[in-house]
Amino acid sequence: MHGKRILYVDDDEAMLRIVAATLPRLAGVEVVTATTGNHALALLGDGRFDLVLLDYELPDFDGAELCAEIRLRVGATTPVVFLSGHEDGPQRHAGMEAGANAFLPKPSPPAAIAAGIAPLLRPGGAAGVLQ
Amino acid sequence: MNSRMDPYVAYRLQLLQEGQTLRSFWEQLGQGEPEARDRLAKFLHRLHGTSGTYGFEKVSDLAQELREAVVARPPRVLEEPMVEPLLAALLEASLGQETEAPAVH
Repeated sequence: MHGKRILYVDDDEAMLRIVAATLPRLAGVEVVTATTGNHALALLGDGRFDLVLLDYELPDFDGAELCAEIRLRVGATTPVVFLSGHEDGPQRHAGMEAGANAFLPKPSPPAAIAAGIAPLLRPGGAAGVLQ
Repeated sequence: MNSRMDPYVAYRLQLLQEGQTLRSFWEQLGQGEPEARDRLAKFLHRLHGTSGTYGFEKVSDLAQELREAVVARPPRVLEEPMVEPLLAALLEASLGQETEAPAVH
């Protein structure tokens, strides 16, 4: 997975700090962060990412709406993964319907986040949907 | 975001502030402020997720329990002692006195 680049979107800066500090070591990825959906869409327009990791509740976007917007922009080749405390709610269904590849629970230890995204960063991984 | 500080140390400092925020939101709930319950529930939802990610299991579990109580019961039924275990856990965690070492370090 080394050399892969992921975009992590969350309005909680403490979450951004821990994910950005641990995933490079645990998953060998570079982590770019955004605090809003609009910031994330701007970053997606400026550069290529190998995976997008999303919180569901953002100040400017509902998670499913943002996921659908990301799908429109990046197509089906970039995995989109939710990291959210709504894993047992209707948000999970809505997010997966909007085109997400996986829905990871929050809280998850950083090692579990790394393990959760690993299959999707392998060649052909974007075709997978992890339930 | 202070990128130079160890994220674990920064979050422990933040937990002290979270305790003050919790106390304030709890008082607003007791005063019957409109939207106080939603505000507190969102705060507890975020605290549950973030503290658990950092490995502060006790804070995370107590935040989830209190959130469930806040969502399920009318404000007048919520008693002051209900918030005390979480306030104590936040203080312990911020001082590095949690009984189990956080998983990220």
